[in-house]
Amino acid sequence: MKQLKVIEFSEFPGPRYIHLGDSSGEQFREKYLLPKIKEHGVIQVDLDGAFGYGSSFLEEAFGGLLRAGVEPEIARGIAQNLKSDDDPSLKIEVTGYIEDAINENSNEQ
Amino acid sequence: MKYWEVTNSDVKNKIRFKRWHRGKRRQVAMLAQKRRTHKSLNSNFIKVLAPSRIDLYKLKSQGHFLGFIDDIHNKAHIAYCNSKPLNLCFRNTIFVSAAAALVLLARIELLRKKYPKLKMLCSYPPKHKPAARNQRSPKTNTVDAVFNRIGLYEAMGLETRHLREDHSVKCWNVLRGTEVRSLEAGNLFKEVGGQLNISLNRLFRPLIEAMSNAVEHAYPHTPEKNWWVFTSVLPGSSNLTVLLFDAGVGIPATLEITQPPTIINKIKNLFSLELSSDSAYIKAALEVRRTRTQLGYRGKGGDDLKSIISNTPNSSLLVLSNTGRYAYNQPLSRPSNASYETLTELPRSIKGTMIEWTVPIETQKNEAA
Repeated sequence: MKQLKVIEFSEFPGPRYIHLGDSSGEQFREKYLLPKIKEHGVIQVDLDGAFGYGSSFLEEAFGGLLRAGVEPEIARGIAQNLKSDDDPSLKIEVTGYIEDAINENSNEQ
Repeated sequence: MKYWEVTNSDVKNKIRFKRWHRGKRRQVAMLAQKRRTHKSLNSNFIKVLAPSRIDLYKLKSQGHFLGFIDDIHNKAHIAYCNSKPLNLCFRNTIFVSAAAALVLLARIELLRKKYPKLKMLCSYPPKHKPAARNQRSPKTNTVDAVFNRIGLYEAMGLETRHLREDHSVKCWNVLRGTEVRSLEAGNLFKEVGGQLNISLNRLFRPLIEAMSNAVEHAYPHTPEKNWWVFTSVLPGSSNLTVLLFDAGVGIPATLEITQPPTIINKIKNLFSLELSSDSAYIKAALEVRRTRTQLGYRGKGGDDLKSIISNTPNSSLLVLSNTGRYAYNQPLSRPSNASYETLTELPRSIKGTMIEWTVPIETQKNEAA
């Protein structure tokens, strides 16, 4: 399975949106995550090595996949294959954001 | 006259005299105040006298310090209009705490932006003997060292003083910006962590969330979104303090704009909270995440601010926003115990939002090991 390491994007993930500052969740999703998903489908995202993650970054990067049109099955696959040995609670958190985004999408439809 | 008539008229005369004397004293005080104002306008500079304690933690000091800040603003305007320098007089100041120092620095920097041509002078803090039993202990000037270290004199347009390095202020660090600067914040934490031999990863998340909130919400009407970050360790203290301040409109002014009425009402019901004070607004803002979990994807930051405190014994979170003061303390024994929350009001508004996390250094060392 193709792997994407967040630390290759930034050691210090930042805010939610690009206009708020550098290393944003929106930038990570648009420039790194979505292109890889379009090319390979479900990939393994490695969260290890970064200094820390704000909740806004994680929600925009992963929950934002659904808002960007990624299929729920692919988003769930990414959550299941997430690697986070430094902080295992991040996997649960990201899974929560993805499920919330799926529910919100289905409510809108 | 009978005895009781003489005594009664004595008492009446005494009362009359006291009233007259009181009125006279009031007149004299008003005249003296007029003369002082007149004198200051006629003198070569406009002076603002700082209180002896520059502090936001103790109730007694809060009013004096916030009054000093308001005084600086008012007199800066007068000085600017009269083309006179503004003299900040710290000759009585013998104590400064982290939160107040941060607010003072931020306010001075903003003043310089507002009045770039305003000249500032300074009467430096005095050397004084610390309150120690040993009367032979040398006089110190920690206040001067702190001001110099954090760049207050530089912010006033004065030269940085070449003081002997005071070990007590080595761990005071400042960061400032107008957008979220995760790289600088992370490097600052790495540097401070290196000095103290601890890991500060767990403080990174709440700081970045608070910084994001400051940039995104605190300044709805101005293009420049200023924030300041401090880290400090007091000598002899086993605690690290990290603070963030923004001079924005405050949480009470933005909560009902950033969150929908459904969430606000849910918070009010869940926590039996009436949004009738600034401190209540702060608590509501910190509870948005818990309330919002099933209702949408925004508003995750509030729980981030508290999460490290909930999981770290003997730590605390302090949030000041306008006149609101919210304190959240985690007791030393057993993190599963109820944490202590207090909501109070400041005597004056700090005109912005200050967030402070205090964590024991030993705990961070143990977690890093």
